[in-house]
Amino acid sequence: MNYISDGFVQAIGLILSMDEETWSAVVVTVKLTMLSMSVTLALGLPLGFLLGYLDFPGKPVVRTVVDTLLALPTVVVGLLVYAFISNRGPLGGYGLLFSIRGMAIGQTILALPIVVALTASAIEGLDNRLKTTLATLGANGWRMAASCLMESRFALLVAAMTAYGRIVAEVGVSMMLGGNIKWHTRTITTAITLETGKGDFALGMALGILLLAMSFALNAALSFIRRRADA
Amino acid sequence: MTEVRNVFSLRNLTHSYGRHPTLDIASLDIPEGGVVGLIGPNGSGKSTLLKVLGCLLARRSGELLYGGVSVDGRERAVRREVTLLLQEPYLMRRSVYANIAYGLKLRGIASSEIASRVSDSLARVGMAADSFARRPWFRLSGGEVQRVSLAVRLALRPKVLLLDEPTANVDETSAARIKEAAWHAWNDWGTTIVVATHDLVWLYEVATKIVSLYRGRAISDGAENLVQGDWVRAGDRAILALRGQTIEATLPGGDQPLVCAALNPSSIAVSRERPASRADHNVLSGTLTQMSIERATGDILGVVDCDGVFLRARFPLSSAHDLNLYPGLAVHLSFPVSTLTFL
Amino acid sequence: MSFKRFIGKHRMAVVAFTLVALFAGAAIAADVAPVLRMATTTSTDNTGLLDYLAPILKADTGIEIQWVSVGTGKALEYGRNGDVDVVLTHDPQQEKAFVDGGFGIDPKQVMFNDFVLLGPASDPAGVKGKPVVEAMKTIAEKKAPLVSRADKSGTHMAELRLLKAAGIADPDKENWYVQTGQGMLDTINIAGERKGYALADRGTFIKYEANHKGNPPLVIVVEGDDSMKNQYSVIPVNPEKHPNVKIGLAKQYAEWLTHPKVQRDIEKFKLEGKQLFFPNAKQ
Repeated sequence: MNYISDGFVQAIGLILSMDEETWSAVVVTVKLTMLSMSVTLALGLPLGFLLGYLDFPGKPVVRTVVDTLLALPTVVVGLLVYAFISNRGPLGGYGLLFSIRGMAIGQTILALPIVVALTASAIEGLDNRLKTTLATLGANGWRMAASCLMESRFALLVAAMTAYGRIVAEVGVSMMLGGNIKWHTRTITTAITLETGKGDFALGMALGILLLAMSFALNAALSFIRRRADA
Repeated sequence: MTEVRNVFSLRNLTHSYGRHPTLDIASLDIPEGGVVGLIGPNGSGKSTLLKVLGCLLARRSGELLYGGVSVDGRERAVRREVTLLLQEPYLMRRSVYANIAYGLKLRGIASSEIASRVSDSLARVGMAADSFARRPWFRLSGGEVQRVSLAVRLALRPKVLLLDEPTANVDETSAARIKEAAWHAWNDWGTTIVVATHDLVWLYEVATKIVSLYRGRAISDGAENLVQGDWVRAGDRAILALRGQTIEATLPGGDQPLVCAALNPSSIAVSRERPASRADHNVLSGTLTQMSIERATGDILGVVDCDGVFLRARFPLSSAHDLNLYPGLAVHLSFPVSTLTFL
Repeated sequence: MSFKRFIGKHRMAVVAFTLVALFAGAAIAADVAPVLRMATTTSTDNTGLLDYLAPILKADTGIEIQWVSVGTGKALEYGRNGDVDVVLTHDPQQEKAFVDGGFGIDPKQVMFNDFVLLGPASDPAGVKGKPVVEAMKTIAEKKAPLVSRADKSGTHMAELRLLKAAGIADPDKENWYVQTGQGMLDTINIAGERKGYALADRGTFIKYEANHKGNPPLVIVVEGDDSMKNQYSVIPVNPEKHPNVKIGLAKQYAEWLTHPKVQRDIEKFKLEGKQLFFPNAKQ
């Protein structure tokens, strides 16, 4: 037990002292997550919306494919993206390997099915009466689509938070595509892996606590905005 | 006297879900500034008709004129003037204020005007803007949701207000507020109202025209008795046995199923004394249970309970006075066998 | 207008602005500076040697270095794919194949440390102090657990060579041969839990010992054998295979690493008060 409690106490100390190296991992994580989330949402929300809003032949097949992609293992994504962005791959010339942008590609692939599937479900799950109601009030086309999105905003927030959870917690893609390079591509999760590998339990714990704190801050901010918006 | 203009005119209009026609209306006019009631059993096509009028459902064939011009290609414009309150209303997940303001914003109305329309509309359905405007959608009772939904439509100042069972699922107070608000819309703005409802007493009071629907067809202008039951064939007659007496009808041609026969209330004669039996007439005895004024005709509609079958008879005020009719009175009904027509 | 009212009134604008800000942040996040990229092994990274050398390199040459630390096999794979400019590894056989295949040029020996055979203090197989090949043979005969990284790292390859010398050509299916597929420290920890033996580099063992505050489940049972020498070499990646390789920086780094001054710096590097790496560049 001392092992765990001592580790915890040390972890708190480490967080409070916040050395440059830990800070760098936090900054990399924030940058990476922002990039991945922006691209994921920018692509995922419209795609998911179209998937849920439109009816077209082959839609069930697309849904099944998207649902299957939800189970993509991080290492498979890492391997696949590595093959593309490695110097020998088709995108090798862009210098994406061992960069935040390269990691973001992998994380986007990882999180995109979540946003698409949950957005599509949210849109499909909207009450049938909504569209009719909007039509009776005179809404058309874009306006109706926008109102449907607005109507499912809480479900979309859940989609975004789920994607965020997947992105911020994953280690396989970050490790394989980022290479865990100190000061550059070392994220909180790859740092935890490294410190655990080096046997530094306390530092690993400290990093884990930081990661949770970041997520907590984000959730708290979102719920604040949500309450304000509803009032 | 000015000529009555029709806001909607339907000619040979049909609509169908899949193979079965849900609406098949040879001719129907909705007069401008009128209160038109749609009555008929569930599934008779009232909701479908309202949605077709609201340009929410496309008809399959026939003509639909709005203001004398076909709606084709100008559904969007029609939807700006015609609005429908759904049978089960839906509020967007926003505040009451935002729900009411939504359609007004679409119409580019200034926000100061929106604010006053929101208060006015809420007042019209008996809700104080102070306590309701900022409420979120989830803090409303069922009756309040229905009232807010009506306020949402009233704020639009529609030319035509379509109401689908507006009082079916709400408490008495809400129902009363809704009826008042609809009447005031008609009275204050000359809004044409088309309402489907089972609240017949109210409907007869306010409707300037009543359309009975049965299986998608408009079977008459005005109230109609639908005599449903186990009709059996006997010679050239169809017979429906009630508890102590029978109703006879002329057997229809072809192999038309004997399910439901229409009987016009105007064909039914009411008397206190039992009239002499005649071979070509049904004579039934029953109890007068209700009397109400029918605004469309100025006559009285009396409801008579004949062994569990409720028949409506229409008679002028003078006969009610002469015969001294009042609810609870035992009366006799007489109508020709030939007036019953199977649908 | 208060903040609350502002957010409430301009919800869509706030959302849009936030998205734009995210994209802007993402654009800033793009990293561009030209740097030397190296693939190396966990032993050089975990011991802190590279962290110790990086600022010296910067001061001496102005070169900024970034490294990925993986097993030797993976490090050479990165080299073969041209994903890095230079490799620093410790498996002579794989390195030879790498250079012979034309993937690397001009390999230079840098330093060595040594492998140690670890085992429980109770030494159930009774191999303490034996020559390492004989020790391996005994472990196999007694079917005592031998825990291996099994990841084509330099340590793994060295262990396979020792097993082969002991007459065990293919331990893959043997049930005393535990393959973790994990890094050195994880593998040592697993060996400790299983009360087994493991071949490890001395640097990682020193760290392990320090983590356990001088009372580790595993101790050194065999060390100092000539065949346990662990040679590190630096190899620039061949620019003819991959024109994008920063060969100038890579060669400069190799020169620097084998320079007598830097060799002395390596000699001075200590972990838990113990010298870890012994420079042996040919001058």
